[in-house]
Amino acid sequence: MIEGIMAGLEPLALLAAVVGVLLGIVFGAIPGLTATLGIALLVPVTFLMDTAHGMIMLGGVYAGAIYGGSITAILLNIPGTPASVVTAWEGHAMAREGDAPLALGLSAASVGVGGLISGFVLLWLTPLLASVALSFGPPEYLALIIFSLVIVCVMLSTPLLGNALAAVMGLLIATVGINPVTGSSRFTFGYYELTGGVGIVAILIGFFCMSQAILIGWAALTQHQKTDIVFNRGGTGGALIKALWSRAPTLGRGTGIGLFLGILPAIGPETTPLTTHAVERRFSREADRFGKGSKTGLVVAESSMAANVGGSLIPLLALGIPGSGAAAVFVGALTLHGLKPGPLLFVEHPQSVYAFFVGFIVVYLTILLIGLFAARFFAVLLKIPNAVVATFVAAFSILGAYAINNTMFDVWVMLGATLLSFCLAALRIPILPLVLGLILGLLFEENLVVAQSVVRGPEDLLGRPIAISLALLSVALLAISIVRRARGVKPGTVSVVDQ
Amino acid sequence: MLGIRSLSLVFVAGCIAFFAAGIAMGHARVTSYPGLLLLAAFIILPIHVIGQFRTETDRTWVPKLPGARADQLRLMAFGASWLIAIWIMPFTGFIVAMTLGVCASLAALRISRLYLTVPVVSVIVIAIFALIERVLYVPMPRGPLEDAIGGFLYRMAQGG
Repeated sequence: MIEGIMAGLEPLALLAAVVGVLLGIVFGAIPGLTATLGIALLVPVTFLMDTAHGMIMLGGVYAGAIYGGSITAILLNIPGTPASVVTAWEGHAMAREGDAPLALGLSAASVGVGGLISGFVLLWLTPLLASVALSFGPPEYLALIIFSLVIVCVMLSTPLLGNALAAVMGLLIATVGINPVTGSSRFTFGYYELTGGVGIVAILIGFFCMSQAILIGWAALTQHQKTDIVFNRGGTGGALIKALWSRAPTLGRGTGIGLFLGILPAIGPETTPLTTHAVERRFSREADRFGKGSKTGLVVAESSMAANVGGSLIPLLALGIPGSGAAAVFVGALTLHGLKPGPLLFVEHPQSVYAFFVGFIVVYLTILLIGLFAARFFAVLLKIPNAVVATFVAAFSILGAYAINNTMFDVWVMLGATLLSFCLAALRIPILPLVLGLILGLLFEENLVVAQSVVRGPEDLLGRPIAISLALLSVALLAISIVRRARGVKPGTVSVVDQ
Repeated sequence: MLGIRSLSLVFVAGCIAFFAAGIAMGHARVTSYPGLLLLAAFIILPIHVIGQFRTETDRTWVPKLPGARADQLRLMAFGASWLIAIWIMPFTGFIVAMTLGVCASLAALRISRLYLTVPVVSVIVIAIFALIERVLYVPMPRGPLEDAIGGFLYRMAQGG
């Protein structure tokens, strides 16, 4: 552990954190470029790096991109990422009232504090959860995977059957390759490239990058780019400390809820600020100011958004279950580096994991410093024409897909995934359950096969309270969701667009 | 008339049929894990689609794309330029295919100063090629131009 912590403080690790944050802020500040896209595009770049440094850089990209969207949201009323919609409501209204430096400062401080707390919780809770998970047998793992898939399906606002279909399709695609039981190849149709399974990163690049390039291209053709920056100079030090100090409970609530929602699969940083903003408004004495430049609204949205990032990495590293789309791409990156996310990660590669934890804390310190002193300079990124951004993303999607295995086959897989993502969207079938099914598919099948031989009857199940609890919880969640949807109540937290 | 959603349905059903073909060819048994997943997909897909069709107000399933016809054609040209670039890459090499792809895609998106775009893009693509091959050690698709540049770089490294 100590070696890992020291490794996370090496100059190259610090450099990886800073570079990751800067790249992330660039990605986040440009509308259309998301954190998921940034991570997916930069995965091949990490091939050359030490595993821990590569992970720290990708962590920096993730956190930086989520924060970067807030800068343009405040200064231009253009949320760089879906996570910054609430920031645009509150922050830009503050900027219009002449408080742009204070809004940027509050945003950076809230993100910094929320992120740092989530970093320490990540460092403390993940090994704890992993040690608990080490006692899990195949039935527990199977129940946990089913619970994750169920929670994703019930939380999305798209039709339940569409969500279930996406999860089944993900599990089905994951069966391509070697049969884990017999060792023979399945669904490869003579293509040796498919023997190791369909390239997950290539599919993710298709889902999150190439499809986004087309959407940005469409925006370039149909939308006028607006770049009137609202910024007035002035000192903020005293006002910032006062505003933040008086909102310490809000900061705590935002961070706590953000962390909790981050740990749950399906609720990524994109939708968390909407939830925490609504909760805080309910209890706030200045509820009428919400949406019109409320400092409290800004603090709760930003702190929860940042805490969610750390939270989404906890189940990923401890259990191998990603908590968001961006975390799902992390799984691909870890796999390419020969690391298998899950409890054994702490046994097999403790140094890399602890170095990453420390690097993640450094990432948020970097964001805090950049946010407080240099945030406004990133707004000029909005002057890059959408046509150039779309072309850049398309070109690097092809490069990224090719570089995974140095084969054009993965590029065609990426294109197929792009087409599939549009077809699924047209049928109101979301991508997130498919991605989760794809990532967890092999693990699901392996545990299913072993669980069938371990659990031979109800008496065997009685000795496994965790598996039973998770299974019952899954059934209850599913039943509640079906009843609520039948009554016309839709889950209001996540939509297709948010993915 | 086939609408976008109808075509999407055909594509998604085709993806599922890919696995059905695999089972028919003996890649897995019908009662195996993939077989059961396939069965679930075959049951859920039509129910979901019919459910959507019943709740949609537009029952023709031919939604109109927003935007002008010219913009739609330009977007198609953008997609086609990358499709062609990927297709020709194994034959022409990375530099030619990528330069053509980038220039065509920029032109499709109304950045049309080709006298400026083509040389700038060419230089950037060659720089990326050199970076990827020499720093990341990723062998890119090669054509005559890549061989010539590779030979030039080799002679440079040999000192003349």
